[in-house]
Amino acid sequence: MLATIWSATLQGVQGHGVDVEVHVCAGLPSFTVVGLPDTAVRESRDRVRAAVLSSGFPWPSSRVTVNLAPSSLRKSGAGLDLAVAVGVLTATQLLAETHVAGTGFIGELGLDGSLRPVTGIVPMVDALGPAPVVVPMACVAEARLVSPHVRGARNLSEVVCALRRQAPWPEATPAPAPQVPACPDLAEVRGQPLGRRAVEVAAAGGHHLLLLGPPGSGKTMLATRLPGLLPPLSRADALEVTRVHSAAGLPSAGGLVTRPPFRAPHHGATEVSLVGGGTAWLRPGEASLAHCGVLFLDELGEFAPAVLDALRQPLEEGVVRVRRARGAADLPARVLLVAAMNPCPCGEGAVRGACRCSDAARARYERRLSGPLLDRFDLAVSLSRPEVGDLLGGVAGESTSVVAARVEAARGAATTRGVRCNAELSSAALRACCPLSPAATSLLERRLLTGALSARGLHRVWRVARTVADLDDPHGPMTEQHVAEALALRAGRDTLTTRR
Amino acid sequence: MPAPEAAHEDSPLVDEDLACAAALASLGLSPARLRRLLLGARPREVWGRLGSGSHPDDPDGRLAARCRPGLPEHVERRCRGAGLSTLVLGAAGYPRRLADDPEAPAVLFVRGDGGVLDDVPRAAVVGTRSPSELGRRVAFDMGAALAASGAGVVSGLALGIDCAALSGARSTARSTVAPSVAVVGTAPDTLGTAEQRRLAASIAETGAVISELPPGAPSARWRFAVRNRVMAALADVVVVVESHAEGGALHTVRAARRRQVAVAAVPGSLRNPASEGTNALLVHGAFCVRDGSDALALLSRLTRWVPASSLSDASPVASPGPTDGLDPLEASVFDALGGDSLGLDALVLRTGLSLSSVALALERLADAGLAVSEGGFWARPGVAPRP
Repeated sequence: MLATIWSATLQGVQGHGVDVEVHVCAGLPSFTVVGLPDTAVRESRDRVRAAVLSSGFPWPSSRVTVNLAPSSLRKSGAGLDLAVAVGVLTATQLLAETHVAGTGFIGELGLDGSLRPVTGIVPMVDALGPAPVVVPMACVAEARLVSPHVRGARNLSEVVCALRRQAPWPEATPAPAPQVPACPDLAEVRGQPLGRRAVEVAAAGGHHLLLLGPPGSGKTMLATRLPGLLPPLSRADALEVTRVHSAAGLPSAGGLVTRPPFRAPHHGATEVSLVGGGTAWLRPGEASLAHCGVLFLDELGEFAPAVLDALRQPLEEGVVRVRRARGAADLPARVLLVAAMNPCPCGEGAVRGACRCSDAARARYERRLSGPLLDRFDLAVSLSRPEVGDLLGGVAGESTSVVAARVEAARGAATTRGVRCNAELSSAALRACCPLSPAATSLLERRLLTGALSARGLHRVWRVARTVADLDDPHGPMTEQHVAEALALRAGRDTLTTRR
Repeated sequence: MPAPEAAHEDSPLVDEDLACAAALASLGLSPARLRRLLLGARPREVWGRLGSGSHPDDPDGRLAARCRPGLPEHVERRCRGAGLSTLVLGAAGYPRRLADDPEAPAVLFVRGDGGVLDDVPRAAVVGTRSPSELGRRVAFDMGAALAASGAGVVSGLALGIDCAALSGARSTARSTVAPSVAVVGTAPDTLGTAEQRRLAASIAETGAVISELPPGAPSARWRFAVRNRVMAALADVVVVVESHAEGGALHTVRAARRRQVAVAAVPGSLRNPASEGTNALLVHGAFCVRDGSDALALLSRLTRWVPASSLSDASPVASPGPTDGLDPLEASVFDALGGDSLGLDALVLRTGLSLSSVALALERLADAGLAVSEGGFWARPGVAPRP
């Protein structure tokens, strides 16, 4: 007797449909799973048998073979448990084939028959298309984001009763309203005109930002306030981010992720944890979890150089192409990179003469940052500790909401140029839609002639200048003043180029 | 006991003596003990007695165990391979300036020309390994000015002020340029960075790189402090460009004071921690020098030596040009700069202008030569010259 049940498995952030074929026939009692299962799937044999028996159904005392098709695809995770159990019950005719035909089943079983939530429910349900899907009750809210025909159940008995039409599908508990985590306000940053402006320009133009400064100069404080300046995610972006977060098993409030994510991995991060990969599961890394949001690398100089260089390609292309012998995955990773570091090992290098690091120590520290990575930062500012007067009294700067409004207007101007933000403008588009005034041209020319600016740097300054101009007036011209500010916003690189 | 000079001048040292002296220097002994061992005896004999365990200075035979047969030949081969000559205290070729010193190294390894150690008057230009940009520039210019006028520069080849001074001395292309001397604390072939190796090779072309250690001998932290006495002994004046309050350059100062060698220091900003040590030296009576011409004047006064060329062509510190003709924005940014070196943040807060106005004003001031930026900091020219 044969039963075929639909289910899905996860690879990277992509769901793939899986046919679970269960064959029960006469022979010595056994239970075999074939079709490239990983350890979690192979272990499902014991979970499924216990769950079926605990739910009050008999276990066939015959030979049970489960095949997971397509057999070339590697199956991982415990999400196939429910499909295997339903398949066994169908093959032993405890469920009629008409009850299960055309329905997908995803969920992990407990030994008592309860249904446990699984990671990656959004992409997996998505992979099954418009077919009705049965998922654990805890996953219903997430699954409904991508499919209208989602049924939730708390345990295997409920699934069987509902399939036999002995009872209606249990009502899903209404999803709690998605909680938008409160973002700290920019007005709390006292003083720091340069840092505040750099954060604003980074948010408006999508320019990667490097914050340099001694300990206590507010680098982390500024970086954590950046996500609050970004506009909410579009519907398409929100779905994609939710899919990635679901695949990574991030706890969600049950709804769509509507705010740009903010990820701040510790500097001990490995290459796999940052860009994604791994042998079996091809898990998305921090760069993908920050997709459409902010990836904040605090203490950039303490990250392993090889780990940082692995970020270069994703920063350029917005996607991590993970290739392994056993599988491949394209993980989206369009991030705004914000990094903070001390100018030298003792941290005081930005203050003239206060640094006691030897040249060799400084050179060693700066060598940890490869030139190509440094080149990807359009903005680099050197911060200093705020004055005492600014900390205790001083005028509070603009609040997040005021700055966010300017950022949104500037981003709107970028969309009229056919890009999401100015950082994505090609050099041809720059020439076409952001002409330089004669005064601005001569300012840049002087910098180019003295060697203070490279050809690649020129285009980066140009894009930043456009963003600065957009923040002033989204439709106004780009003047010499905007170019001068763009140059000032990358002058922090000078503190690092003491590579003698 | 006869004087060491007499002992060796009667019967000149042969190659085997030099090899044994080099081998003894490779044993890691303190300079004082090495000197005691070699005092008044032929290195070959000392080596033989140590090896046989019958030397009175080595009663427990610890040293004898390290005197492996064949070591002299090995060390000599390495010296020859590295192009080093071995000078032994008391023998011919040993620099006279050092021979009279109470703490003279018993064995010296010289890359380049050992004869230059005696000829011209010398100034030791030393300082911290983590100088400010200004200090580095002052050291470079001082090295260049001294060498161009025929005064030799002695320094320690540490990164920072030492390297800057020696690079300056090697940068000048005049015909009167004097040979430089680098005194290193490691073996001459185990310098730390590529920059130091390059500089050492350049110095050895006309001058000398000297060390108390033979090639391949491991160094130790204390070696860097004790080699400073060699610099002090070789110099007619010791100039400290920048030093922290407890800097290593002060070892050289103490060594110089013990030898009645004049000490001079370059004054620095009270805000610059790298000038704390030098400012303190000035308070306690060191000569005050600002640049190469001051150092030359001091050197010629102390040694009654006449510099080969006057430094009349040395450019004075550029004074800020007239600020008339600046627009009010630029003028207010220029005023805000004052005598300080400021980040953009500080300038925005001082002037109350917007970031873009300040940035533009600075660009224009830079074009007019009224402001320079260095490491992200802005200042009037002369306050913080770019290297």
